[in-house]
Amino acid sequence: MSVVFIRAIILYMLLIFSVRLMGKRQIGELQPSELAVTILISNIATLPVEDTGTPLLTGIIPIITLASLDVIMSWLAIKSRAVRRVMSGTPAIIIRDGKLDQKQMREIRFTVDDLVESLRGQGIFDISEVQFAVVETTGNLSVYQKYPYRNVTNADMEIKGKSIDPPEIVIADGEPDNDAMKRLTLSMEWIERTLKKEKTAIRDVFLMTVDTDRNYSLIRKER
Amino acid sequence: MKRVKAAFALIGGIILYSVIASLFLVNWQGEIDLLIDEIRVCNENGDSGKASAAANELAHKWAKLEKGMSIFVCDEKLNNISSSVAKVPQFVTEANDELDAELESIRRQLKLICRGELPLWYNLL
Repeated sequence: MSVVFIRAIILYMLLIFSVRLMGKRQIGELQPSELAVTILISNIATLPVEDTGTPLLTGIIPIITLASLDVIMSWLAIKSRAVRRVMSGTPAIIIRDGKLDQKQMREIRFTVDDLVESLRGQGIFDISEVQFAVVETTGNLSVYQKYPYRNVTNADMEIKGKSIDPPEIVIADGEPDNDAMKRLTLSMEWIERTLKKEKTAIRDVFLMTVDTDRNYSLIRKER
Repeated sequence: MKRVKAAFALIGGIILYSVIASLFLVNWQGEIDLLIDEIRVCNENGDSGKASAAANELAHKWAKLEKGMSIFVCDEKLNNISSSVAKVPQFVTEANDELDAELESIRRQLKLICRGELPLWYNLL
């Protein structure tokens, strides 16, 4: 049993390493090939755990190979448009100028039900509101509505304002984030001065966020 | 770019490991083959003392190599060879045809294991 236990720990570490190597991606954002690799890796990992007579390396080598190839192919896809097309395919335009392209829909096997469901998911219940729609390589539908149905923006209203980056977490659970502080060019003195003004200490801060204009928000730890 | 470099390094490492593992297996196969030949020759010459010593050396060597091989090869394949190797010292003293059969079985199974690790088209398919 101890062999199975230790093998499971080794493979767990290896899986974490492989997933980190492949990079941060949510399941919904995975390309079909990446999804296939992820499923394949999880299947391979089970073999040496179940059968202790199988060398652990028969699991380790394919997992590392698949994860490495995934990284290399992603890198090649960035470098070459042709590789990108082979790996991920191309987005398919199914509504252009408000007209449904049925031929394209048949080609990518995208049913009317899929289309209507995706539109509903984006709060569009009438297909005639759509000017342009694309089925992305991940299978998600991107929609551009006709002018009268688009949301009013600040630009439409001619409301002037400054574009600034969103606030960043500089203290989480009493721990200062030096990287975030560096990005925001904040010094420790500024943090300490601000916290002194708020009559609290770093260790008592649950969350502190600061934006580029030095506007901050503070949540104290609950006792 | 760090990830890409790491991926290339890992692939390179695996290729290197595969080559080294294959060389080790071929080398170990050669060592066992030599001992098998020695047992066979001594046995044919009626030198049962030398044959017995070689058989014991084979058993001793196999016990050591088996551990190394289990890193690359499934236990199932190695168990068959282990049982054949265990019979050899007994057959040497009794001097019968079964010795030849067991020695041939060890040789053939080892050959199959080594061949199975090489990236040849029939293994890949």
